[in-house]
Amino acid sequence: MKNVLLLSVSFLLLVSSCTKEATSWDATFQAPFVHDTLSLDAWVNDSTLAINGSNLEIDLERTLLDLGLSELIKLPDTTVSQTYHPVLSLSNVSPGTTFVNNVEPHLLELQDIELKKIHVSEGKIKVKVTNPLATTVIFTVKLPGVTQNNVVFTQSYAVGALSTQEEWLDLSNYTIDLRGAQGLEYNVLQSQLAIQTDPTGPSVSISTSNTFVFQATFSQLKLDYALGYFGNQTLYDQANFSVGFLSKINSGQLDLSNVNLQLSLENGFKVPVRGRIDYLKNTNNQLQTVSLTAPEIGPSFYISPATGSWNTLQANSHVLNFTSATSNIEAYLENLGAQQQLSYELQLNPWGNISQGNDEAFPNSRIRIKAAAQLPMQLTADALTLRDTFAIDLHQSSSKTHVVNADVIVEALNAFPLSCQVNLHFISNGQVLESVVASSPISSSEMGTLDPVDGLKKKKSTLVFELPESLVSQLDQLDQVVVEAIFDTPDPATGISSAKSIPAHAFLAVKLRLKAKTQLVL
Amino acid sequence: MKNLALIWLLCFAHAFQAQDSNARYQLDWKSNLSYNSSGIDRHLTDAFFYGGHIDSLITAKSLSQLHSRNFWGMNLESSLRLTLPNQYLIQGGIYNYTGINFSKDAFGLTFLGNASYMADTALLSGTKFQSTSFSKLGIGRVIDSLGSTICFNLVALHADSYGTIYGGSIYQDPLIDSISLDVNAHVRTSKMSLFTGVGFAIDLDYRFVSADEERQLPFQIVLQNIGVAKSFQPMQSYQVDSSLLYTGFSLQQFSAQGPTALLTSLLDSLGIHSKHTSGWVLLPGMMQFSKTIDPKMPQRLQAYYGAKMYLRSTYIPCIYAGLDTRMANGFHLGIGASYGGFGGLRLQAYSQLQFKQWSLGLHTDNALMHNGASLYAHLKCGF
Repeated sequence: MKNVLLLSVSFLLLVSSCTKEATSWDATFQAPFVHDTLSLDAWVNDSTLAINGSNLEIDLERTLLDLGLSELIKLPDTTVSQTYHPVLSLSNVSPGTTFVNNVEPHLLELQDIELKKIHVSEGKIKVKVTNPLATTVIFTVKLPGVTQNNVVFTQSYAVGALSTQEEWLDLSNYTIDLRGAQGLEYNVLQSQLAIQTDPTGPSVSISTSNTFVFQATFSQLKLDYALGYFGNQTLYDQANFSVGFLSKINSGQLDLSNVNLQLSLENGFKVPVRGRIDYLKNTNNQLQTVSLTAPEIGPSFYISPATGSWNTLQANSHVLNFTSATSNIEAYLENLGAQQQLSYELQLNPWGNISQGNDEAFPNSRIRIKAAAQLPMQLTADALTLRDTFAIDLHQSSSKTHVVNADVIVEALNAFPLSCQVNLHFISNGQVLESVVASSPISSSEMGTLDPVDGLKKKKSTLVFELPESLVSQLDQLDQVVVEAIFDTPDPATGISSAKSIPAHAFLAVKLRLKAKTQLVL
Repeated sequence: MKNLALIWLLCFAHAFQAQDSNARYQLDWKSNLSYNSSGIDRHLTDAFFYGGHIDSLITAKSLSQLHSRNFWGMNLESSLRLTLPNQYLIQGGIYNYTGINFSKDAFGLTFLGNASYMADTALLSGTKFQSTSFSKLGIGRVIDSLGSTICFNLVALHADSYGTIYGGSIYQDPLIDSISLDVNAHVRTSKMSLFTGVGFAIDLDYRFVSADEERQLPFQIVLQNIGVAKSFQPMQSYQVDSSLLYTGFSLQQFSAQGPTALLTSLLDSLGIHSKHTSGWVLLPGMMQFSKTIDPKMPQRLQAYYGAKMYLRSTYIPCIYAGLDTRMANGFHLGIGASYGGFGGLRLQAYSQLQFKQWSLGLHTDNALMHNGASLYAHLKCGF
């Protein structure tokens, strides 16, 4: 037995002397990754682009400002309160006895606005009643002038002994007549309170010290109809808007021609309006600011009230026209400013209450400022550089199966008359760790041949991004990749950038595939 | 390694001289590790045992040796048997059978990647994987004077996996614009643990002699591990029968879903059905018929031959034949050839040393270590 044990130990030693390390081998895998066709067709006839002959032109329309009644007339949250004190003490008041209070007026605080009638599109009312008696009391709250389908707002509450009850109610679609009991006033809300002792309860005693309280709080009211005098309030503001795409342009130049820009101010209220554009300016990525200069910038203009009513309402407009001949609109647009700023002033009723309190606004009444631009999509791009940053979060471990190096191969078919050199910058903690330049640019369609099928010039290009082992081994440290695209519009004869029209239906078809040398580890 | 092997052999020599010849108990220790392939270079397999990087030369050499249908497999066994004076016996052992049938393209895709198959179809049909690990503990009895035995064993199943690609191909167009995949495959796997399931197996070692007029030739029929096991838990089974044309993703898909979700949905589109199936496993039983040698025969040269198979479709029945020579009393050397199993034609060699109640046999099925290695050790002692 001793020898058997000795033999077994010896064999175990023999086996354990073979230490196992990881098994690995290299294999190369490749697969298509992305395929897509980029074109501008989606923006054609979509208030952005239009086809003129065989080329595209920009036919852009955007709304820069859009104000409705709710923005112009804001009703403050208002609480109306009414109390009832018996004038003399009564004992043994029979069950079901009713005491009715007088209608009480409450004035809305609207400064110089004088409203006769409004329609509530959204809003709530909180009704709160307090019973001082030792038995149940039935409160009936009535708001004369607040109607829906000609039915006056009325709510009844059976409030228990010595308690308070409150309830939120929806006030949407109520019409409120603010002309008071005589129909000659404005901004007046009315209320009335009736109190009934419990018809099924015992007889009660009421003293002069008992206070029956009712409160109605109008909250978050939004209007879609108003009649009255809307005041001569003046709205000053700056409209800031960003053109995100332009914020990615880093350097280079764009040359545009035959530019037209219209700013249209539209008045859908039955109120005269005075308007003024103080300035329109933009700032590009290099913090260069260009202001639009034209005779139309600065002076006031007047827009007549809208005509018609409800469905027949017709807005009145005033159009400011900026052309290459009368303004610096080309320089303004060629500045490629991502941050646009419009400063304006609008004043209602510049001549006071000349409508005698008959200003009117309907659900579709708006005051709008719209921009419309038309220009041929003909441009000269000279090293126009777009740069965009994407966050990446890639991990791999050299002790597990991992990519050693990789080629990203791009097959491009370009029908745009632009060439594009693409570079990738890999960033770690804000520092460029490695830059990869495409083996060749995407060639302009001008370098290609005419396809008789669709009448477009096309050029095929193959680009390879070699991601070296030194980069792939540091994949864990990368947090961003910057994609840089440098555009030119080269002339096929000279290679110098010149003005090119973008043909209708132009496209860029890309197929991207990945070829990765991979070390498989077991 | 060499020093340890020398120590091991010296220990054996010391052991042989130390035994007496009146043994009432007999202890048999068998150990076997053999792996082989019809085409894969041994160094490639060795890298999986010992670790290390498989360089492209080894991969290329293997690929050049492969045919459309290929085999790789491994057998592992270590068992101990104690025969009592009353002819009853107790035995136990641990076993693994792993066999793979594969196409040349399946090897190429795994070890070279798909870049080598541009504008080509990689055929995967017929690829099959079987692996079973188990232990057994049994009792039996010697049933005749020739030493025939029968043994009944309780089996502890450790793991069982099975996978097959009934039909499969991958086509990549010349521009790598698309990859089309057709696959009809099934995979079944159990959990791996010391005691995944339980079973039963019979071992039979039946020896007989021929009724030849001139001399009696010894024959042996071995049935080992013939039985079944059942896992305690149902086994996880995956079935796929679908086609897929992958052309990449659009930029919109990328920005909306991201690469991880896209790859997941791509795999989902394969329609892999998962279900639990019955946990019955047919053990990789071994059946062998052989003409053995008779150590008491006066002739110095004797022939041996036989055939062996496992109850597994990834194993080709193996035939072998060879010549045994008695170098001295109690010391035999043999040389032969075998064909089948997991590989092609191989050179066999063995030595058998007997001293008093001790005997040691060392045997290899692959003396030239062509596409594999093989070592059987059988130590027998009486005490």
